[in-house]
Amino acid sequence: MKKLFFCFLLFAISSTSYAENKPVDSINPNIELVFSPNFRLDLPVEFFNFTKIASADDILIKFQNGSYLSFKAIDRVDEGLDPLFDLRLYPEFILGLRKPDSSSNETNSQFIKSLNAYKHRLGNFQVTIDEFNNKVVYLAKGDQESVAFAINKHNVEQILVINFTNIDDKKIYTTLKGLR
Amino acid sequence: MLTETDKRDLYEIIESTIGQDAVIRKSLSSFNERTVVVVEAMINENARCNSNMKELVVGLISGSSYIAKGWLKRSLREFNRTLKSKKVKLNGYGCMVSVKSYWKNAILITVI
Repeated sequence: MKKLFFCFLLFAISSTSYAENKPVDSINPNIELVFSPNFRLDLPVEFFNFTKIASADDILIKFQNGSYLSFKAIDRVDEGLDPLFDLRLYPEFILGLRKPDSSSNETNSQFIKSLNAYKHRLGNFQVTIDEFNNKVVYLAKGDQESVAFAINKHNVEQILVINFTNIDDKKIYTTLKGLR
Repeated sequence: MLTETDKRDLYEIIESTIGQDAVIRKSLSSFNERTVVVVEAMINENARCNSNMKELVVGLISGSSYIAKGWLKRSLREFNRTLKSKKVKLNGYGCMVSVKSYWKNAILITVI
């Protein structure tokens, strides 16, 4: 019942958004998921065909074939980072593109351990950096698991973390292009 | 098929590793074999984040059986007892929240 209500809420949010901000496109209807004021996801309704959407700490979308993706917006407080820490460096530190050099040794150690965890989880992963709708996205692609870190170019107070499990490339890029 | 005791042990292991979580707690009755597999993977990964967890796992399960899949199912009760007795030593997850949050979803996926 709670899940049903949550799904209804998502649709309601989306419908409201369209009603207030955009002309209704009855030919290509979309659903907008809102993670925070800085991160939204605007996707065609058909993307959600036969999916289960669950509310956890994050929003979780499970597809009929068992693959799933999840979203989580994090900020400095969540991660116990210094208020002056430049969040734009977060993806580079955690994905091993740059040696962590924050003011805290403990934080640097956590970044290194997190990189080891990702190496274990993703296997040999490749990192690409792209921009979608003013969001800079670091995508670390492994064989079955991938993770993306999105930064809003106009507001770097949060990072959106997207985990992909057994999601094909087409759905990964459809998701990333839907970031708003 | 997990017994009610298995499910309780599994939840307590999850709680010791990623902390209290109301959504996971409410899913306890639906825990299944797939949940055990995911929690085992979580612990194996957490051993890369938390040296105390690594010490616990290696100490409990000797040598090569540490990496043999299915070790948690074989030692749910014992591992939970060990974790509870040394809980304070775990001292948090040990990696960034972005790493940890993945597991909550992976666990929930097994029950929906």
